[in-house]
Amino acid sequence: MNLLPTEEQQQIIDTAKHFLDSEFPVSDALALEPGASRVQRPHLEQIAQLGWFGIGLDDACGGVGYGASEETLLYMELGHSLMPPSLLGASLGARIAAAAGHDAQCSAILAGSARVALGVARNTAVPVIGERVSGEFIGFEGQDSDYLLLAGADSAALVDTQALSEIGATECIDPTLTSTVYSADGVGASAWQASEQEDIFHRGALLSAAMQAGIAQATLERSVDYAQEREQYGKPIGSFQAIKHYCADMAIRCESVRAMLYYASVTLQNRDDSALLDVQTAKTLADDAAVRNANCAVQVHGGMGFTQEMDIHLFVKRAQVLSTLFGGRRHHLRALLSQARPA
Amino acid sequence: MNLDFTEQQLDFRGEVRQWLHDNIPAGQRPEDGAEGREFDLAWQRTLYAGGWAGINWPLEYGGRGLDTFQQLIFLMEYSRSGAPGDHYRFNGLNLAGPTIIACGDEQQKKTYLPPILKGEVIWCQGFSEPSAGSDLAALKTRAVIEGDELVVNGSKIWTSWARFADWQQLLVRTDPDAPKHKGISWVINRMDAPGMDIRPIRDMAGGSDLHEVFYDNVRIPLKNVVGGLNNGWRVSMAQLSFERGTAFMPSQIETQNTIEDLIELAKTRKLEDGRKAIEDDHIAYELAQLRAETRALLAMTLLGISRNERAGMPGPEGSMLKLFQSELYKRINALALEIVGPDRTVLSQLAGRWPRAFLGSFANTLGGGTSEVMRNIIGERCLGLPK
Repeated sequence: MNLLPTEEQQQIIDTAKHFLDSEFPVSDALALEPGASRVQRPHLEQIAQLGWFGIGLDDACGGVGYGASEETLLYMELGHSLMPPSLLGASLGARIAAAAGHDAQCSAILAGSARVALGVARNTAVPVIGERVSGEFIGFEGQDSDYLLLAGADSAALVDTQALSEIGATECIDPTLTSTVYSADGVGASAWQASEQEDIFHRGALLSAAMQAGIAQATLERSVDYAQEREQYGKPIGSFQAIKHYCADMAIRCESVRAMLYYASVTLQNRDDSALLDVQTAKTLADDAAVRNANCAVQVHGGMGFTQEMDIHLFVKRAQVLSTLFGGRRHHLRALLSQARPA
Repeated sequence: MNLDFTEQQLDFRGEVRQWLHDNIPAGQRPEDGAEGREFDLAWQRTLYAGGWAGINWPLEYGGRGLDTFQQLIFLMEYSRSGAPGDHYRFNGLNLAGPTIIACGDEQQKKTYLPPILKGEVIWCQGFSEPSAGSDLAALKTRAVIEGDELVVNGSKIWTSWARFADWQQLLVRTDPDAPKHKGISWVINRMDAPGMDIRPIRDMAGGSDLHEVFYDNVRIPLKNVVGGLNNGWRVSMAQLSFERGTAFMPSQIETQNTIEDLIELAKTRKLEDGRKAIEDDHIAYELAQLRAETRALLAMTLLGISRNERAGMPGPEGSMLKLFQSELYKRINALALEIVGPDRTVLSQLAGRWPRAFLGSFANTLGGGTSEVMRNIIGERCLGLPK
């Protein structure tokens, strides 16, 4: 028993950090025109070469053959660097294609030549997601993508974006993404899986929770740095308990979410009895930690936190986007309360 | 990252489970202090006789000399088995004992460690003073060297179990001219020494386990100084890291049992409109949130133990665990009153254990460092923010 990353797992973290810091610094995101993608098609192929989209996929399916833990560690770093949700679309999309036996589709996604946007159902109607797809959906980065990935608790589907009716593309709350609203009325899925075969919904919940943990951590780090530099009343503001205690609470949220993600990634990989409870718990707490830490970071940064000169607002906005994916807090709170008493 | 135990560890777990099953005392621990003391000591003697005392203490002082994970397995099994809590044994087993192991000399280890494991003595703590609470290093209780003795004058407060204890780990000021952190010594004091006056304090939950302790020319042999004269601050910091770093498994399991019991209660208890409490959205979401945080507490506890094992000692993250657990436990008990409804006002079986547990839970965010002190420690030691 040891919940810490092994040396090999630590290498995955370090490699990811190094690559992201040099190739995709968050400062680049600040300089983007609204709606412009930070990860263009050539970038997607560059990232694909690292094997990241298949890190948790069996090598028989063209993946790297690691498990949910390694994938979780990678996605924590991707969240920390504010990388777009379409990377998660690739990891999950490849998984659906592989399970459906669509080898060419799977290879194209793993290679970054086919792009998968993540979609979420609007509250206008109860969506149908399966062999046929109906409903209204918001796709993040849908415009430049080949597929839209939709996941409900019971099943998940990859839909060709060309087959969907586009109601309109609009500015996304997160300026590094776009929101496209689609409608579908019985559109045939390009590939789909029921959760009994391949539980995309809960894997997506785990990995989007990992991205949220990265946001919680990044906004903690920025707040601590700022609290050490910024002086008022002749002292760094971090010496005042009002600020110090905000930071302490942010740190606890990071620590509790990190521990829960490590734990849930292991129980999900092992298919333990508690796996769903653990993933639902991780998503619930990670959404909360990302939203609260990012919001708190604005307050710690004072007036500067409210400007677009600093990158804090990007994390505030991304946390809101990720909170809508793979079940929000209300869904997961309900679900985890109905789980059996853990052993 | 793994949660698997080895074959050997699984065998060990089976052994612990079986022994506990066969040896847990029947019946409740007595409420009365003197009877409680006898109950606790008798149970410790049973543990010692069975070979289950001091799992990770060195063999030469009566322990088992086993590793962190065997300690973890033992604590998990122990806490789940419904075996008696530490109660009066807490201080000796978790604070005084480990401190003497870490900082004591050979003679002190031989003299003081075995009686703790053999169930012969109860220990208590003399740290806080009326004017030195969160600012512990401001303590004033004075100890003057006379020959080979210290002569102690002053007073301590919040000493748990003082009137039922045999020995006390006591912080005294041995050098009033040194900076406040550098003039303190950690000494072992006999609770029946002449010049001691012990007065119980009634707490808001109706208990009287806390005390004020007064010292009027109390004599303590110099050889009872642990870790060197004027080095007591460093010794007590080592100790607070035990308090915050290890021994979390029982409180984690207690928290888990409490939230799970509360969820069960909400499935049967009715609200004023006749619905079951759990059918109310507000109550359901609160219960779910607390259940989630309790699950995270388990993961944090295991992560902390994993770090201890890698680094060889508890890190400052233990402060996070302490803060997280105590605040969580208080919120669970507060929600319980909402579920119990108007019956919360009745201190009888109508409302079960919840009203008293609610009142008692306030101690959790005060004792062993207030939540505010914990946040300062996290800010300064974990995050590097300025004082």
